[in-house]
Amino acid sequence: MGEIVGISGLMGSGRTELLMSLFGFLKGDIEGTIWLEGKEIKISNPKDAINYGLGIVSEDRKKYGLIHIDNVVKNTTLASLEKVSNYGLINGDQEIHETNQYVRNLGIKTPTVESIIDTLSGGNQQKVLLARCLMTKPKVLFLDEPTRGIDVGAKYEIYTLMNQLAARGAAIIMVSSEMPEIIGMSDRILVMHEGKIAGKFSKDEVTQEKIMIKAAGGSKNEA
Amino acid sequence: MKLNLRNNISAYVMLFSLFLIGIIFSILTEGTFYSARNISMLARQTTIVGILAIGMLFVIVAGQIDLSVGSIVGLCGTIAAALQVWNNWGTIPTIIVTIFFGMLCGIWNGYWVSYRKVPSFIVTLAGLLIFKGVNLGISKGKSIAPLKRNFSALGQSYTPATIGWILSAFAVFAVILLFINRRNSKIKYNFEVKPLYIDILKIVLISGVILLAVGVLNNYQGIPIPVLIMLFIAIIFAFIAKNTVFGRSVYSIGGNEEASALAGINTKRITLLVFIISSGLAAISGILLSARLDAATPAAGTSMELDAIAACVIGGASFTGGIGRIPGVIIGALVMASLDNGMSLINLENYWQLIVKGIILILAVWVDTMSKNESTV
Repeated sequence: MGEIVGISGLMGSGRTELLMSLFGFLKGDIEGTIWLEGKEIKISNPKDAINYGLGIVSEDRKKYGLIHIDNVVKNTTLASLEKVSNYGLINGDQEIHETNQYVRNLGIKTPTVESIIDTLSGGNQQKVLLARCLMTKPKVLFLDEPTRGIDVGAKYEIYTLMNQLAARGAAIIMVSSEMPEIIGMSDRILVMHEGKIAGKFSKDEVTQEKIMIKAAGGSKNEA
Repeated sequence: MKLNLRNNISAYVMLFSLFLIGIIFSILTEGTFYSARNISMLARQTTIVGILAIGMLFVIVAGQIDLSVGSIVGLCGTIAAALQVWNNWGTIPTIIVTIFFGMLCGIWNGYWVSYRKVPSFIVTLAGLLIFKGVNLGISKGKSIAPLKRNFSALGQSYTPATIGWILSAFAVFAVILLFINRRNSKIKYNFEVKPLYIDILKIVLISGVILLAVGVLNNYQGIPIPVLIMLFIAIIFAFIAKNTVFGRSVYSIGGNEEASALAGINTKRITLLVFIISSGLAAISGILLSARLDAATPAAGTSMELDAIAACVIGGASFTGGIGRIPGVIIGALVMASLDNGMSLINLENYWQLIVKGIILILAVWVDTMSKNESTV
């Protein structure tokens, strides 16, 4: 049974930057070590992260997610092209076959898998990006605002999916600005303030108030 | 749907303009334009820009631009001629070293663009000056001639008629195999297969075009060797663009560079490779150009980058990146060559040719941006 860890905090507290630098996407003044399954690992770019079994769905799906002019298939297989190719040659039909499976399992609503991604609704676009992430068979998923800008039905489907993945043993690290989402979904909650982790709570002790105090930079004895 | 419409608009504009150019010039030249001899010339004229445009397509699809290819054509032509005439090198080592040198120019461009983040417009504009300067330094501004006979044969000779027919038979055979293969793969994955007669109709149509083209060319002297070289390169790179992980990466980087990087694609290396391809193909163009002229001239290749860019845009490539196909680009190159050829046939003075080609370049990009606005508004 995997764990869902929620990361809360105010806008600009460095939550997205934390995920992006863990994933090897942000470069610069970064310190610290990353441990996976009891071993220290070095991640210098997103390819390393994917090879170690990490997956990410970014908060900004237009900027860091979608290839707007491409179809559902190409968007889904983008991070796992090795899996649908031999010696660098893509097997187009196998690619469609694999995509079809994810479209069915995640309930992605699209006329065909060859529809252009920009013609899909926000929720379905988000599910395609989840499919892209899941196709790499990640052990740890980073979900940054996974339900931003999508309708209630799709939101519920994504929550269900997260619980299923956790039940199957995946670890999920979710960043969210929505309090009910963080409190409802997480087994453990970290609160960030000005780039540092300011508070840790377990599922049982957490309240909205406690999170807000830490997020606003309140002192330790107040909490 | 929107995108399909857009692609279709480009395809129609392209074929329509080719058709229009053909009609106008055949009227103005009283049929000379469509004579077997002129079509053979036209095909050969297409090759230099066609090969350049194939490389340029990869650059444009990746969301960059390469303005230095014209200078690389000139420089590599000079290097090939210098090796042959001054150092008495054989043809094959000359070709290998020249292509290698062209790829070095690409590494230079690509290094600055992908690892030093200087905009490609500036890097390759500087490259245009630098490579031109090196060219003038080596050649001292003089023509280098004559080249070895088997070298100039690359640009000047033709296949005998029988070889032409044998090659076209192979091509038809390959087309049939390709369709059978595609069908079988679809059946293997239980996908819907189109009715058989549609595939047969397509095969007949494609084979018809191949046989007609070879027939017309054989009616003059045969298939020009440079045309064969261009088709060979076009087929290989069309395959790379469509079916390889590398090709897919180029398109996705052009579509959304940040998203591609986050999905684990090494965007820097791919961008570097794209510039190496562009320069390597420019070197091949340079070799074919000096072979055709049987000399390397200091002005060779000047402003050819604009022809290549125009060929790409006419052929449906988009400056926003991520869009463009090799077959379109070859037709785009054919359009540009037809303009050159037709305007020379009707004895239009050189300055008019420059003005007309400049206007065509603007119109082609205008059609691209206009159709893009329609699809986003």
